[in-house]
Parts: sequence; structure tokens; C-alpha cells
Amino acid sequence: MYGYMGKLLFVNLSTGEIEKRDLSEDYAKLFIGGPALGARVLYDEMPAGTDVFGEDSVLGIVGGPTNGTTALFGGRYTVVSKSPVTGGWNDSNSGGFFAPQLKAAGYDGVFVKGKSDKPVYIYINNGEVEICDASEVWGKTTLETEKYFKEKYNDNKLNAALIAQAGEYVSHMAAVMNDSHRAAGRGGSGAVMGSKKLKAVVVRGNLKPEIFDRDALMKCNREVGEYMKGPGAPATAQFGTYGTGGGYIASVLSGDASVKNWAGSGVADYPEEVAKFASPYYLDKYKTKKYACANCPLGCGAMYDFTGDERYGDMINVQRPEYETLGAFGSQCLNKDGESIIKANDMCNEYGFDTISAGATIAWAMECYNEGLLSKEELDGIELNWGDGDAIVALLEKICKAEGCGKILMMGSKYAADHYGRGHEFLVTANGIEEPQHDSRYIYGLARTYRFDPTPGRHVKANPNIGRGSLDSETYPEYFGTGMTDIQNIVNTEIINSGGFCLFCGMCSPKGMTIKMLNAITGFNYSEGEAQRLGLRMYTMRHLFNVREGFRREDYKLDKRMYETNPPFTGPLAGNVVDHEKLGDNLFNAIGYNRDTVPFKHTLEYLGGFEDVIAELYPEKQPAGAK
Amino acid sequence: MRVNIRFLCIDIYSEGKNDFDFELEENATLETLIEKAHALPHVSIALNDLKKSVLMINNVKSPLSAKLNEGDRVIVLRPLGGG
Repeated sequence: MYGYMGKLLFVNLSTGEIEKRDLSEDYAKLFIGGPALGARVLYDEMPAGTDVFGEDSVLGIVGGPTNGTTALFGGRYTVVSKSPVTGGWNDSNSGGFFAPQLKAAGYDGVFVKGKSDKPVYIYINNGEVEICDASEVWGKTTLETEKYFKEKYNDNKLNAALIAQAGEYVSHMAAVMNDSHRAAGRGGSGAVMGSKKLKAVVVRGNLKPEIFDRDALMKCNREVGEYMKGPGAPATAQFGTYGTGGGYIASVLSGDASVKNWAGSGVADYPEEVAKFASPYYLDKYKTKKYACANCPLGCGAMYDFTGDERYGDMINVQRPEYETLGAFGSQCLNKDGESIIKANDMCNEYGFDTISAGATIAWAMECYNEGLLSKEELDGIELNWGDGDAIVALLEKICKAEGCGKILMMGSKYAADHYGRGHEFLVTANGIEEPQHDSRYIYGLARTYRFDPTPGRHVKANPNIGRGSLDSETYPEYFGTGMTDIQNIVNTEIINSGGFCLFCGMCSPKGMTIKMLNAITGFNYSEGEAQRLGLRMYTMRHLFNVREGFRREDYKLDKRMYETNPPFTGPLAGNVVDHEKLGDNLFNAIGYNRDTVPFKHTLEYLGGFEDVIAELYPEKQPAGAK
Repeated sequence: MRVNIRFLCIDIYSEGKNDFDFELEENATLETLIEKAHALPHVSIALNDLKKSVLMINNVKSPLSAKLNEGDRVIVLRPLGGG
């Protein structure tokens, strides 16, 4: 099979059983890889209602067909599991160099079930698999863990998807890390890994997938290169120079990014002359080099050195904070102390925390403190005033070390509000997961994504193009027509994520390029119409995991600050109220689900690949008297 | 009268320049300015899309019909970060 290694690895940590299964061409063609293939496998392997931290819970690490080929932007893998935060489906992806190395080790995906009674890691080398003792490396940070494996195997090219302390604590904000600062951060998959006492999946090899049409793939790459010099040049210039944070100041001023825990506005509370100190335009004075993931022609990452800092000492070769991190530890906390954001980012990477949820949880605690709902004593003596970078770092240290109040806050803002019995009015979550730095009161379509995506509260799923600052009433009078735009965005996003592409591929390549590349790699020869069906099938596969868990419309919940503003809220979003119910209805009508979010039988039949699901959801009625 | 317009947009930023001064007639509206700015050589998006951006005059979100005054600073925002 072209583009794939044709093998899935299943490891049971309770029994020590290792099973290598063939990846069926049907599954590959129907679900491509990454989140959708992961959802299909977990649907098969995990019974409904499985305890997320129980023996039957499965964690998957899944690549896509672009990985390990020369396809530009094809460097991402996905971690899949049930989410300990939302109680439903979870997928989260990461860049770096793990994805091609997983292929080189011989597998398209690794699925782990069961639980070990002592720390272990899985070592995969050119198809051979061992479960090894991880006692020596348990308790180590991300960098320490990577160093340990590289020294142990005397091999600088091996890669590892691993957990640091956050995962070991089974924190709901725990990420799966790789390449020292790349994170599959959202939804708590690191906690699932930690609950299994699985420190890492270490991969090494020199195997390569076969390509169906190498010349066609090279032609695609050239077209991408030309596009980046033409229509994609502005995005290439901005993201290639300043990274994802290149739009930070604009986002703060427009209302896209969070200001003061989503209750303030950039123009009133965090104006440009403040925001610039937390932006790459100021912080890039520490930049030493660019960083690009595997096969990436953009290189939106960068590394910083800052030395001799009286608070933090020498910080060498640390990652430039991403846009999300600048927002979470910056504007959301009214923090203009850019160096403290670099420090917080590095701490999250080292201890393996999701920066979005960690920053947002601190912002929630900050609002609680400033409104008198949490005391200095409850915060272990920290005066958590708005904008205090030192206090943010001090509180994050408590979280990273699971000390005092950090034991509570490391479980996220919703858990903390429930624990303290206070501050629920300041939560900004979707099914308990903290909102990323794109306000759905600015980009209206995100309210649908945040509420109803199978992974609620994610900006990297579909729908950034419905409304910008206000609902575009010419294009969408009374929301009419949003459903069709929504499903088109879903199709594009699902193909990108499942193919193993980076989302920036969408911004830096001509329309239709992803499916063209997938056809060149796999030979599946998807037509435009089949690509539509493919995208919707993959979305529906992720969604069906939640349907089987019993999720229905009312089980998808948004906190109020995600969709409406009330006085004294000022700034460009003042008065914006997003009708997420209507956005949801329009999608469900367009895609063919009922109002309660259950796909119709004819929808599943049309999409294909769901015979087992149809039998479960729509059992044949037996004639009266039949046995 | 002289007014300034600045693009804070990933799809307009070009060659380090995103800040421009325009001479407009008295009583000119924001829409007039946007139409003039759209004619700049590096602005590649459609005029209608540009008009749908968040537009602020002196940090206050403003409609296209808003009247401009001497020395006004206009910001056009079309952000979409990532990460």
C-alpha cells in the first residue's frame, strides 16, 4: 500500500502482549490517518463507557500518509484517546520530527491499552518492539527524558512521544511532548498516558513508505513553493519571520485574543503600547535561529537565548512562545512582562503542560483573586494581581511541582471552580476545556466549533471564516447559509489533520493541494466529490465516538463568556452575541444529523464505512413473532 | 486633511510596510479611505473583504459611514493567529 507502512502496533501494558496488525487498505482509504483513523480504531477497540483511566482505555499515536515522504507541511502526528476533561473524544496533534520517525520505525500507528504497575516505555526500532523499564527516567522533565533515551541508545536521531511530570501527575492539562518543545497539548491525553505508567513511545528506524507517483508529488511541492512566493507571500513573510505570534497585537486590538480573562478589551485594557512587550516584535531580540518541523518550508518556530536575567538566570535555546501562549500568559492575564511569558512557556514545555489551559487556569484564578473569591492564603501566599508576571510564574511553579494549590489548579479551571465551590461565573470553557486565543465573539463560526466539534473548544478544527468582528449580514442574513460554509471548512480541516499536514498548509498552498498530494502519495485517486465525502466521513467518525458515549446536543456546553458580551464590556466586540444554537442547527441540517446531533441512517449510508455503526444505531426491527 | 491608515493583517502585510498617510477631502468617510487604500499595489484582497474587516478610528470600532477628521489614525484588523 503506497504512503503507508501497512502496520498498526497494539500493545497491552497489563499483559505485556504485543500484536502487529496489518492496516487494511479499506480503513486507510476511508479514514486516511491521524484523528479519523484513530477514531475508527478506538471505536473498534474501546467499549462504550470505558473509564478513561481504566484497563480498557486505549491511547493511540497515529501518523498520516504524508509523514516520512517529502510532502511539504507533512510532519504532524496525532495523539488520540478519550478525554479526561470533556469525557468524550480527544485528538491533539504535534509537529517536530516524531511523525516521520514513527514511519521509519515501521508503523502507521501505535495503540496502547491496559495499565502497567511500574513505569515503562515502548521502544520500537525498525519494526521490532520492546516494553522496557522506565523507572530511571520517571519524574524527569521533557529535556531530561529525551537526553536519557539518546544517551542510553547512543542515538541522536531517535525520537520520543513522551510525558513529563504533568502526565505522571495525571493532570488534566498534561500534554504528550516531543522534540523538547512540540506538544500534542489539548484534552489531557498526557494524563491518559500517565495513568498507564507509560513514560514514552521511543521510535527509531530507517524504513520508508513507497510513494505512488514521486514525480507528481515533487510537482505539488514546486507548486506550493511558487504559491508561497505569490499569493501566499504575505502570510509566509509574517509567519515565517515572527511565527504564530506575528498577529498577536492585531488579535489583541480586534478582540480575537483574550484580554483580562475574556472580560476586557485590547483598546481599553491592553493597548498596543502594552501588547508590544509581549509580542515577537519585541521579544525576537532574543532570537538565535529559526525552527522548522519536518518538511516545513515556512519555519514558524524560533529559538531564544536570554542570559544573565536576574530572575531566571540563563535561558539557552528555549522555544519562542507561540501565539496561543502569548495570549494565555500575556493579554489574558494583562501581563506585559514578555520575559515572564518566555519563562512560563519553557516551564510548561519542561513539565509537559498545555500552555493554553495552564495560562487560562491562572487567568481564571487571577480574576477570582482580584474579585475576592480566592484569598492569598488559598494561593499559598501569592498575591495574584492582574498583570503580575512574577506572580504568574510563581503560581505556575506550584502547578509544575504539584505543590499546595498547584495540586488543584493543575487539573484545570473547571475542576478548580468545582473544588473551591466558587468562580464558576469566570470560567471560559467548552465542556470543561479552556478556550483558545480566538474569540468566537470575533470569529462567529468558532462558536459552532467550540461547542459542537467532537473535541470541543478547539481553534484548529473547522470554521474560522464565518464572521469577523461581526456576522457578515450580506453573506449570512440571519445566519442563513452558514451550514454550507461550515461543512466546506470541515472537509478541508479533516483532510489536513488526517493527512498529517500542518494547518499552515492551507494558508500557504493553492486550493485543492492537500488532496492532490494525498493522491500522489497513496494512489487512492480521490475525486473532488469523493474528497468531500471523505472529509465529512472523517468528521463523522470522530463525532460518532461521542454519540456512542451518549453525548447529545445538551451535553455540549459553552460558558457564557464564549458567546456573549454584556456591559461594561467595551471595545470592538461590545454587544456581540453569537447564536451558537443556530450555527449548530445549520451545520446539522447541511451535514445530515438530527437536531440532537445523531447522524441520520441515510447520512451514514451515503458516507460509507459505517455498517457496524448503522447496525448499532438503527437496528433492524424484527417482524412480530420472529425469534 | 491628512489621515493615517495601518494594516494589522496577515494577508496585507508586505515588505515591512503597513502604515500609510493619505490626503483626503474634508468630510471624507472611512469608506473613501478604505477604497483609496485598496488601490495600493500590495493590497491583494478583494475590496469587499477589506471593507468587512474590523475598522477602528482612534481605537474605536467604526462603521464605513463614519466621518474622518484631520489627524485620525485608522487601523484595519484581520487577524488570525495560530499556535
